[in-house]
Amino acid sequence: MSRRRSFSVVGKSVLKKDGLSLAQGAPLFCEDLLPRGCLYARVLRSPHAHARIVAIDASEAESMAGVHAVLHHGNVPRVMRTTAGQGAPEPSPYDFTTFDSKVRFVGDRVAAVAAETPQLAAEALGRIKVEYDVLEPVLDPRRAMEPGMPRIHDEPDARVVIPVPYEPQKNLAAHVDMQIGDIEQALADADLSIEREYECQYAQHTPIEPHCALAEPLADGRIRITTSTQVPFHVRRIVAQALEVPVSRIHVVKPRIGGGFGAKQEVLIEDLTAFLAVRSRRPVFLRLSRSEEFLSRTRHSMILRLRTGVDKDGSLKAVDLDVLSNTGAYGSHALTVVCNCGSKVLPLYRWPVIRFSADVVYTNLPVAGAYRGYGATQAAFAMEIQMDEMARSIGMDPVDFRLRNHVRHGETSPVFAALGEGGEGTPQSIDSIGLKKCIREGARAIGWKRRRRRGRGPLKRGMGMVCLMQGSSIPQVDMGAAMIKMNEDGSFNLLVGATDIGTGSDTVLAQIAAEVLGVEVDKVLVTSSDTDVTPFDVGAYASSTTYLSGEAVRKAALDVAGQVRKVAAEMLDVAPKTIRLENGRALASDGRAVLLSEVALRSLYEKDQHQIGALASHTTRKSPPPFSAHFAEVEVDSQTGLVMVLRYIAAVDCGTAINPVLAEGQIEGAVVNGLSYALCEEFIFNDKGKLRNDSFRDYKIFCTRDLPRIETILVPTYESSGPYGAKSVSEICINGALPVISNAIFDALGVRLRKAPYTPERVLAAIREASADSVE
Amino acid sequence: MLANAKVCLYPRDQQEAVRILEEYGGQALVLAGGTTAALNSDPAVTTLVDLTRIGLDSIEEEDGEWSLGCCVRIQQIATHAGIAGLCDGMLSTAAGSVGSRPIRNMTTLGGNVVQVFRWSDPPVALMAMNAGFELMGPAGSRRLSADEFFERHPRQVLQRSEILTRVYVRRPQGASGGAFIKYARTAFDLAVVDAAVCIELDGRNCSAARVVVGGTRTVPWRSREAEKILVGSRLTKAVMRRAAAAARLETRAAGGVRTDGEYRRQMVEVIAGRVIEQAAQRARERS
Amino acid sequence: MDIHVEVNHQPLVWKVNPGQILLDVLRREGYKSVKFGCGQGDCGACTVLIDGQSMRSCLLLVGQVEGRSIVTVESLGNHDQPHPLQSSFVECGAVQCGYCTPGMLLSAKALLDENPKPDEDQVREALDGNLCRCTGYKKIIEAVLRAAERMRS
Repeated sequence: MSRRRSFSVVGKSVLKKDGLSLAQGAPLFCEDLLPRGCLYARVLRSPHAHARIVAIDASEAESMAGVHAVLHHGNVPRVMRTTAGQGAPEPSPYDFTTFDSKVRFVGDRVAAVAAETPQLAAEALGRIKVEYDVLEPVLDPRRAMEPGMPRIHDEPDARVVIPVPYEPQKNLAAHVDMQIGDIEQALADADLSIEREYECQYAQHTPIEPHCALAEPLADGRIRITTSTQVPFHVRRIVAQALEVPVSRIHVVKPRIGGGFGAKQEVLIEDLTAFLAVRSRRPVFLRLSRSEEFLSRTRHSMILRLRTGVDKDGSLKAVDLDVLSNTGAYGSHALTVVCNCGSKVLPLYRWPVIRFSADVVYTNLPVAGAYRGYGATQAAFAMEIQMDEMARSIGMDPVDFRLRNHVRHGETSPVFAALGEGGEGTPQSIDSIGLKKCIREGARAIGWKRRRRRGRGPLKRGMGMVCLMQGSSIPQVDMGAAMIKMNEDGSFNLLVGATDIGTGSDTVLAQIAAEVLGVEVDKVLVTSSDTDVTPFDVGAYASSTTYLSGEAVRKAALDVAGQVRKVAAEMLDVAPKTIRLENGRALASDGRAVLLSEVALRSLYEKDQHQIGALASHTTRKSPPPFSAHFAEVEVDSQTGLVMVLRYIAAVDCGTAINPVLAEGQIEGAVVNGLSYALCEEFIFNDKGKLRNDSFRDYKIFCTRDLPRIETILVPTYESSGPYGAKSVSEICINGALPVISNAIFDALGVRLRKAPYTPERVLAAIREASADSVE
Repeated sequence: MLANAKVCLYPRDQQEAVRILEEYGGQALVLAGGTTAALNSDPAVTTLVDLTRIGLDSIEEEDGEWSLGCCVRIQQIATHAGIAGLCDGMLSTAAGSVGSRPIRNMTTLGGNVVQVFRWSDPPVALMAMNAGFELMGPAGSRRLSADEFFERHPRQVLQRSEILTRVYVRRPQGASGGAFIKYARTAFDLAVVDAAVCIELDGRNCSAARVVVGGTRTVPWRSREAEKILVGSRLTKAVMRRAAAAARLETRAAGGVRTDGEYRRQMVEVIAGRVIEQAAQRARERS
Repeated sequence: MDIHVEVNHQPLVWKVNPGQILLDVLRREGYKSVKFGCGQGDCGACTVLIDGQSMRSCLLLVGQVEGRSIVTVESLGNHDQPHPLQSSFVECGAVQCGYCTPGMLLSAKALLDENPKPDEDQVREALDGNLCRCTGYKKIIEAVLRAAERMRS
């Protein structure tokens, strides 16, 4: 594939295909599509963090007029599985069933009801009598594995389905480790060795549309599920598993999704809705309330211990990252998230000696799962703060320190081979990297060289910077496929399993197809994520849609282009390989041309009739990292501790940006989410494990008036293994805020925050502690 | 949702409103802005009473006294030029800091002041401005000072079937200055601490001071200890710092979901200190 | 009881219990652009214009809108003739998942109706009650400023 030509459609900020419909408020979301006679479901949730259900009496609820089904562990089959939306066999433990006789966090499922109105369903919940035997909960991840602690998963049928460590008897949900070289020796030999602990908190994705799903029993005995999901094919498989029916009985359709960010990479409510639909023989709609949404899935909170060794000349000698990850009551994504702590952070720098070890523990707290960044966020937090500390300790500018030590083009890291997503990794070398340019341009944009600690009165200003990497798809594991067929007006239907969750992937994939076929983007009509109609795709996660599904689209388009050229060649009486597809026409080298519509009409109706079309699949052989450098300027009120972010620069190498405006949108959205996570998002539990701030009133996310000035700089490179040179961009930029704000606060005040979020209380306490130390 | 409310009444004036409340008692729910009614599901409520049509939605001035109708929306107060000129705009600032724009569009002065949640910002400013509160009930109307109105939660001060009709604020005499600060963690947030101060100077000394703190108890409260230090003194930095520290000592702050009591008390000192300084500065500029 | 409203410039009479939530009534009557995000008045997905002012339909009881005008995004333009705000949003990349978009558009419309030449701070203030998790707001603010410029010329 040729490098960096200018393209007709790729690289242009083509308008998002569904943009105008969405701006008109068209009824495209799950809750907009409810059929007549639809029932409403509600879920009864545990008030206890850890308890056995001794008895459930649903008889009164069942006998209420207008209540059509009541489910609980007594009347639903026990099928151990994971809720994680991952390819089979899943790397997450099978520690979950539709309803268990044990509850493991405040908010865990106990029963579900389908009724004529939401109010009736709520009333029915109130009539279900449950008797609990309350057990001692495990609320502190640091203590979860101590001998004598209560065992959260004591069911004999909890297991893993791939050979990975799993020790539920000590509340260990997952473990991974790797080592290259002699870590103790290398740390001892280094001129300077630092050991620090970092802690980052629970957070929730808060998609503005909560989880919701509609299940409809069809006349032929199948069930159609319309759901706000990132993973329609995994939903189909896992719901079939839960209902103990063949996959062919389930049809999953994805409407427009009101945000996912990883929360919807999970089969969280579709099983319930399907069961209720089957039992009641009516369509059933379930939507989580906002407070239930906070308890749906979360980010893994982690404690990271990082030891690093560096020499005075600035060369890195050794790194030892030890992670304790809290996966909450169930283990979905437990192993894979923590693998990414290593695999998406350690390869960024040239470490001669590396050790990485991670334990993931169960606690009786809300369940963590996939969340944009997926472990890289938490590990980059620790790594980039420590890089800043090392640089300053040896008297080196943090920018120069990164420039000296980052991985180079053509190099590799042993971490790639050692760490996969639950298994072995995939070795790869870095074939595209624009990090140096990202660093330089970001530094220039913020005025890095001109910075000095400034402030007026109690307000102190400072600047920080960080470097980041992520990945693009899960190599050798995930697969995406695309089908294209041609219509008589020279338009094409593009059918993809790939899941547009608001990111605009339908548009990006159409651009790739249009580029190959030589047509305008609106000649490519996209149908996505319908399990009866579109080919398979793992779904929207691991930053894979452009890089993985996009390549499947490109392959299918190339096949179709070949077929078009063959027909055109007959029409023009030339050799097929001399034909060029451009502007909706097939051109011979002497300038004669036929319209694509003419080709289509001939192939559909006139001669050698056949459907021009193709199916292509793709799996990736590597996961080429996008790279980024972030710079931030903060102003801290040293009397209140309040941190205001004044400016934020994100310079990003995502390969070719297939659609620059959509790429910027991913960057800006991720940056603001990261800032909010760094400064004000956290879960506050009471001493019985109940979430106290389960509303937007008490769990704050940024609004328009909290924003700094944000500047996005796209630094193009060309990744030849990706469609038209593309890598990925959707996750990486959420990883910058935690470390860069901490580094900027250090620049402003001389205090290091290693526990997030950086609330005013924590900042003030750090200032006080520092001045107390200096008095001593 | 109020499932049993079958009827909504729209009284045309305050007398009719009071009569309706007398008649329906606990079955009636008063609606003004409505920002809290929707979260109410009391099955005893059969009748809704919409107060927004009783003609009390204007801001008027007469002889230096401004009267604000109870159904004036918070956003109106935040953007009103006349109110902006009173006490260095402290009421405008307080109104502009409430919630987010749609909340300011919906919330009425009456609702904000009578419901006074821990997060209601205008009551803090109104207390510092020594506002007057006119109530109307079956027995007629009465007027309370801010200190009387906020002595306990206003819902307990209001008698049966009584409604708040107007709030009065007046430009202070002489060399005076005011300031209001809401300290919150993000832009659209409940206050950690609010503070509002009105100061009057007589020559070089402070002749009167009202130092009001909000966000720490259910109603705003005056720090008498801080006021004692200020009144009669020359407002040097040291005096003002001592007053702020006194306000902190007088604070009995509970922790909330997101912030602990100790931090809140510390912030009373910081924020009260800042508003005292700002108000003093402005008063000096006028003397 | 009968509630008389004007919805998108059309006079209507709803036979409803006045204690129902306006959001639920609007969606039941077919105005699907008005979204449920939290039901507690915190996120703005349910924003509608009542007598031209942006308000939370999840916090309003339907009895409160007797005699008032309600505007939802359905009235803002159509596919052939979108409102300048709608086209600006799409062109600037301000629409990602689109769930917050109707609320954002209405808050923006209310702003431009009252102030045709807002600065960036005024745009932020007018939209501060609409939460978005996808875009980071930057392109939304740009789109409103661009629409304002277009509408002035």
